[in-house]
Amino acid sequence: MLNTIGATAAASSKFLSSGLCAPTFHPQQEWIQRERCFTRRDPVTRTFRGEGKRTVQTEIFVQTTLIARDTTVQELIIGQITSWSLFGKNWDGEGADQPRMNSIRDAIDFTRLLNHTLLDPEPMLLASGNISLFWHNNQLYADLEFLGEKRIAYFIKKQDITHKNIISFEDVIPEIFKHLLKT
Amino acid sequence: MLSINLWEISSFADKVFALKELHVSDNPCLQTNVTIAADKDRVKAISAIHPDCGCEGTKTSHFSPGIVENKETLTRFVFSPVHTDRKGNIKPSVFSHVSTFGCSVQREDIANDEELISFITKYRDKNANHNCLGVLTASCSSLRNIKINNAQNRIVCVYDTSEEDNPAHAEIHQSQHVITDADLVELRAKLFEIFTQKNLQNYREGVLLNSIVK
Repeated sequence: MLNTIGATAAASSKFLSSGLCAPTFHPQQEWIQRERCFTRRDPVTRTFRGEGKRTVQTEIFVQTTLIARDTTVQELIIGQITSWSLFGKNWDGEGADQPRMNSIRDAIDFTRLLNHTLLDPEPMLLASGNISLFWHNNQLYADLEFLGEKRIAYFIKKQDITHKNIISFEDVIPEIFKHLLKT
Repeated sequence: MLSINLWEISSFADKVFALKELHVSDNPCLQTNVTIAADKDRVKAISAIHPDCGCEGTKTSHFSPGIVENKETLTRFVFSPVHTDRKGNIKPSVFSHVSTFGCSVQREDIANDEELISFITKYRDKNANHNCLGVLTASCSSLRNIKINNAQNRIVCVYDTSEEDNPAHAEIHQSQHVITDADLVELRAKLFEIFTQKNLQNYREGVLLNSIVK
């Protein structure tokens, strides 16, 4: 997803200092705003053809450029999980339970802890209403189900060695996942 | 047949007790299945009352064409877009009903094309935003041979659960030997490994796809 927007806006109230303004990050939207600000010019006296001399003041513009960036996979996952919280019972047409908020919260908290050293997962919504994160490639199968109360039931198979348990997490990724899910 | 409204019984233990009390017929499996057809504890109740896949040898439906044989091929239809990833591949979550209502499958030897088209059409009539996204197939014997925890216990049961308008309907249930939440996560992995994904163009020579699109 990529957004590029350009805009020019007239400064309205007080004059701005020269040079680049500080970039503004808008977390709800997928762009960074950077404003180029121009120095106010003092009023000058100019001669206009057929009108004589007049004191005028230059208009002040703020050049606003919205620099595009890609939505991160992490943001996509969190967005998808969040959207599932709107589902009611029977969201799959087969009698599934309503998504469980405790599980949703834990899955989002865990996803926020993921960084570039770990592979990108796929989120899953289960018939029980729990959320799970899923990794799958030629050498790795990993399924982490969020049970609520910061507990994770997991099954990981990496290079034919399996790992399975129930584990708690708080503010950091548990060591076993750092090792098994790294890129 | 005796009937009971299990929705009015909140405790799982009380449900199992009530169902056991009801078993006065010649076919307790059929009676259990019919009585708790819409109960959210359906899989757990059946495995508690009929442990070790105790209903595989008997009909569990009034419309049954017969028990599910090991040699049969079973097909899981995938409808919800929630069960596909960003590339369109089907995710293991599609099997998660194995621990709740039962994971619905169609019996390839029983189902004719018309019945499958009818099954898909009825599903879509009830779920307007869902399309059939593909199918997953597996042999019944491979499912019944699933083992976890290096134990020899049966983990997956396959029951004939025919419906009046869908005689080829069957269900995959976890057995009582799936004990922890991590066991269930492992079971999803086993099912994901055994089932083979096909798109509708490659299933039954695309006949379903052509009919659904028309």
